[in-house]
Amino acid sequence: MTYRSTQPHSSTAPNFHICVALLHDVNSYQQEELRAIVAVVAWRMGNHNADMERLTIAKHRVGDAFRSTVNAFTTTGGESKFLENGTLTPEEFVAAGDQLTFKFPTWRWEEGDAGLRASYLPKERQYLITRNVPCKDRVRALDSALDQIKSEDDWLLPPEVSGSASNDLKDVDDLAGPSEGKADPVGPGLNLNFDADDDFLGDGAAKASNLPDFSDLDKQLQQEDGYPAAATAPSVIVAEAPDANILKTRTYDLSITYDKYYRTPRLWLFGYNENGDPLTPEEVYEDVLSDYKSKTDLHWPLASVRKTARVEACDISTGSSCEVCQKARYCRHLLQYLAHNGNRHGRSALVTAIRKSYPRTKNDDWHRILDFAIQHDLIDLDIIPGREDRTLKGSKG
Amino acid sequence: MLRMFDWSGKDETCEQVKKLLKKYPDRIPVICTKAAKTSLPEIEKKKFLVPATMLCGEFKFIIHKHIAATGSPKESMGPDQTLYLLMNNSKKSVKASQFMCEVYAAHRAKDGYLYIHYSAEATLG
Repeated sequence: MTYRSTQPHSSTAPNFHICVALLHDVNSYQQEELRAIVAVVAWRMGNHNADMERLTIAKHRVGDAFRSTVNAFTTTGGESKFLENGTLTPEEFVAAGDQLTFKFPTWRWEEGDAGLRASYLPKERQYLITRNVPCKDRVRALDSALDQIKSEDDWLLPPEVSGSASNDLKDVDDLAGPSEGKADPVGPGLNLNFDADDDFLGDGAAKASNLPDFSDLDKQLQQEDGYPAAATAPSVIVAEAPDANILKTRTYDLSITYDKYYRTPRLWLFGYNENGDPLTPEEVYEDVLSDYKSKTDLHWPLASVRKTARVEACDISTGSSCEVCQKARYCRHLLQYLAHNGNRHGRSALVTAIRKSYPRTKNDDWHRILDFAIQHDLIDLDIIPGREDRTLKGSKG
Repeated sequence: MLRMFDWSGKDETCEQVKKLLKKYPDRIPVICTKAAKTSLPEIEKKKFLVPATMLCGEFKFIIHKHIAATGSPKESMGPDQTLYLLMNNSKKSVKASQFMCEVYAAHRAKDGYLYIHYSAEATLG
């Protein structure tokens, strides 16, 4: 994780703001130093893999320690800085969370452990959580499926990902029929995209001969355990395909906490496998698109034994995550957030849009801003929904 | 599936779109170029005929891959950047859970294409 300093806005920045920016700078410098020390310590420990793991944990502990130190000397209160730099005050966090739980009741407030409570948040509103979000298959299935792009003239034809409504409709009429020419661009890579729909919709009619063979389930399980997360080689995919529709449903608990250091909400992922056992960080990575892996920190929180994937969160993401949650019952977790300290194009465009829409927006009008943002899709948390939801809502003409 | 769209425009491009849609009734013509203010490279192929039921998140993933395939290390996305897809006429960002046909219905241009721009923002740290 890197610490970025907050860019003070030269004209509008109050002194307080600059102080925070300085603190960030000091932190990033000292953290580099400590990281080096940790690296040396870890290097002396022998076993390489274990070292990397320990190093990661140590790094995050150092980070946590730093942040808690800084937190002890900074205050949370003060005016809203949302429009200027996208940060939230705890009050705004609570307000946004109330709205989230109101609109999307799958999200709930939790109290948390008494010893870990943050004084700047109400006792019964420490963090938000939504549980048992199903995640049916791994992201590498999507990865390899979308690789099969055909081109015609100067047009690229990405494959239809299995379970698409058009295929479904045809296949229902023609259950036993052979796979149509239309399915060709899909390619063999898609065969591993088993999901529950296959059983009902005959999407897998052509794959009937590939029905799962339970006799060597144990073996397959063992094999699967050995697979690296990034494995996409065709041979590997073929080997694991048979049990994909039985064993792969994972569930995730998603929680949102307030991060006092960054003054933003932070999203946490906590995954379980099909048996309800917690996932290791490596396994969680199987659900994160490769491009985002380096951007997703995995660590063991100090106060908890649970292994948790931590993703940098930001300002208005709270509102968006719920939007997605309601609509899509997420499957894959690909996370993106707006910058929380940027005064770049995107941020200023957002601010301009909000200001235009609500000319008299005051800093405390958080609800209206959130509403606006939800309505106008200005915020999004990319959680790609599962294929079980792939019906053409309201667009069948 | 795309019959619901009203083809009011009658210019030349629209004819091409009609032809395409006749041949591929379940696909949507998308032209994806880079946004004006971004350091990202131009992708080689800009024209996509995507399935109507493809999710925007999946389309973004495809664009992601194309950018990775074309860009020199200097130009490509930094480790702290995230890709955004923006609609031409509204500058709105797309939501990953939307279908491409939903986006098309809402944002298609008069000539029948869906114009999408991609851009990157430093968002992760």
